[in-house]
Amino acid sequence: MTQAVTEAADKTALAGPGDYFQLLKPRVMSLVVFTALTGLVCAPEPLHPVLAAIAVLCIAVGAGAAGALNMAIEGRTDALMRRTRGRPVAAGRVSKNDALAFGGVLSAFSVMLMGMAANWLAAGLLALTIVYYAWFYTLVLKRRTPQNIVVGGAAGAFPPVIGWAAASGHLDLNAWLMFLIIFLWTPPHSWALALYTTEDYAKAGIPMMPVARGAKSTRLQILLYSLVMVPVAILPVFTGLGGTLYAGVSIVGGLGFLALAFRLWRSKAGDRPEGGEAGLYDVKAETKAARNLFAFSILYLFSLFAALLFEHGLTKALA
Amino acid sequence: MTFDNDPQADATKARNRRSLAIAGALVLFVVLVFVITVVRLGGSKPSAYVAPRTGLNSPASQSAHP
Repeated sequence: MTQAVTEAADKTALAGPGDYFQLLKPRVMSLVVFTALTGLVCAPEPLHPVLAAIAVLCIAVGAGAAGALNMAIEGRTDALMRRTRGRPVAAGRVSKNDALAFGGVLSAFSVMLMGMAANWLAAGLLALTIVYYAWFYTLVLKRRTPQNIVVGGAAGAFPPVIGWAAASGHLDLNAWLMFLIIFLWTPPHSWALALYTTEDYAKAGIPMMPVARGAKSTRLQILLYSLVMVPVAILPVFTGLGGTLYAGVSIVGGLGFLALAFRLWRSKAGDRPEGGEAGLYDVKAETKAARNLFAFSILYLFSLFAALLFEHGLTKALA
Repeated sequence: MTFDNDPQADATKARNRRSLAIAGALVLFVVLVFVITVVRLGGSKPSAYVAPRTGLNSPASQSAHP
């Protein structure tokens, strides 16, 4: 026992800045930064470029802080899953308390700076997002309901709203429309991933939809959410948020999304648990449809927001 | 005398790297607060003094005292 504690202490003593950077979930952060920047650029009132850059930095750091708090709380669960067992807390390279302190301090700094650089509405929304993800999603929802990702998806949908609020100081329909697109996109995206990592989630005792309701029900719900999400993603064309380029991307991308969701519904993805340690990321015929939708969903969301960013960025650059 | 695989020396190096990262983050925070202050104050440059319409500096009172 004493030896185990000493070994753990030795491991954390060797933690470098890179381990702390990993706590910020840099890959998630990149999508957060991109959507937040889009919200900021699409807002009708411009923000001073320097303050805008600081606001985006605050959103990135705030999202990272929420990720660090999540990893601190979920260390034991992460250690049970192949996808997450290499994370700094799960692997024992950073202690739970250090991760909590790191996430807490960064949360406070990012909210404070956001209030100073932009306004306190944006700062309040950033604080709400951090608490929502780190406490409500991680501690309350994740282990209790298969709808965890549906309700918890709001945390990932807030960044463009925060960006919009940072620039304009208020919120309107278009800001909430961007929120709604990401909110409805999250379940098909996350459940497609869960369909080929079901075994992992079951081992960790997390009631993700394929674990709790089975693969067949999950595939149907992915299709239903996609059928709602794709028309909602076209709505910005009618509210004036999206232009011709956005219309093209949302229609063509939406049709592609629906085709892949339909193919997944017809497939047997997730029906048979994958066997063996090496099987998690091997491409197997029965999970190919789920993997295709997961990969395409990232490209789809990126394309939608890239189109908005391009159109509004160009309009403002030419004005 | 230290060896390449001395755990104590590795731990000290790691601690130094963490300390430098914290120092860098704190400096960045101070710089950002300074930049925000400068940009925000830059938006409220002192404008030319405009005399009130009434009182000693008003155009009417100035015309009364050539």
